[in-house]
Amino acid sequence: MPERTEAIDVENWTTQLRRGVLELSILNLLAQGELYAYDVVKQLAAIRVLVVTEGTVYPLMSRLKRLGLVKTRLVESTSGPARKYYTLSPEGERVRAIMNGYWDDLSASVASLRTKKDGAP
Amino acid sequence: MSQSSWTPEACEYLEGYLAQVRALVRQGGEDAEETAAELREHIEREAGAAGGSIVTLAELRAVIGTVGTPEKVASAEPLIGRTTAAGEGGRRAQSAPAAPAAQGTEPAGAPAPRRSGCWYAAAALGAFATVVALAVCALIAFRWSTLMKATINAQQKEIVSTLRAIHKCEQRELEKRENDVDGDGVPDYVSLQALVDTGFLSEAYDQAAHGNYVFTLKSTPSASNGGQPGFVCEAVPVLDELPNRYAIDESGAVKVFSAGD
Repeated sequence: MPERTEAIDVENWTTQLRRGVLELSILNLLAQGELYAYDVVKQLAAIRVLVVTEGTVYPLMSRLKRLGLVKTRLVESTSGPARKYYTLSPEGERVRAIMNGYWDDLSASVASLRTKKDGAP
Repeated sequence: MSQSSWTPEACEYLEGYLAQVRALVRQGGEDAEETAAELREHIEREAGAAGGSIVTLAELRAVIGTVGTPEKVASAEPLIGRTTAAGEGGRRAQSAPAAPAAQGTEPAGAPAPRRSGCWYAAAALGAFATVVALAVCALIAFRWSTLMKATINAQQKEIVSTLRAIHKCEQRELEKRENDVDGDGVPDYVSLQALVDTGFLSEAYDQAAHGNYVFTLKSTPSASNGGQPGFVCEAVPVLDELPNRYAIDESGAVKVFSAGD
């Protein structure tokens, strides 16, 4: 049989994983306290493995606001236009807890498969 | 704009970029104005920090390179959404992943009457689902014209918005006083290709149909128009289902014509 020369590409898999955790990452970030939208973007972009394209965060945050998971308030600024700050709503806290719970279960289950011996229950 | 000064080219490029973002985000059903406003703040802040006292087109493009193209920005697909499942039952189902059904636990030789009951239940469910599907199809058929009108109206709004953005950019080009086609000292409006070259419009507008419309722009030099420059930009539909064509001229007024006129 001729040797296979194609490399296995996992990029699509990692891309889908990152898409799946981005909204949870936003909620977890906002759980730490009220943040200006720009700061949310920059903190997410600083997490190298998330590979965030900065502009993509804004429509997601708009959607979270529309779903009622985050609240916003405008703070007047002396150095420019009023700034919009985001914070979690009570519904956002509840959804975040659900998502984190599922994430913990999923990651623990997947991790356990790495140490599972062949044939062990 | 931020405390930095922006070159006219940078201003126009940003407006064109945000116009494309609005159009694409709106198509995705999200809040286009809010997204564009927050992107504007982000870009102005980044460009101001990078460009110092003057922000040039090159510096703006570098910032937009990290922010993402309009297509990339609009491609952000939210995964959290509303469910129509009833109240807490639906949320509980989402909060606790369902334990997998035990496999192979049904004892061998289950009594026949229980299987028959399941069969009848499945048949009844199938019949009910068929009736519901037929009712939905009837509703869609009845409301098809309304659905089509809503789709067409959304497209028409986008076309009018694009024409107004083109008018705004033409006014800015006129103020630059760089284009005098007939050499009479009075600046003239520019071509569609020139708007593409400034980066305000994507190349698609100067080629074949963009979306379901073909855009054409005719500029009238001032010397042949009583000393006043003029232009007319038209959006002509390529599909028979679209009833109207649109035009805007130097006055900024959008005119609607039946596509057959």
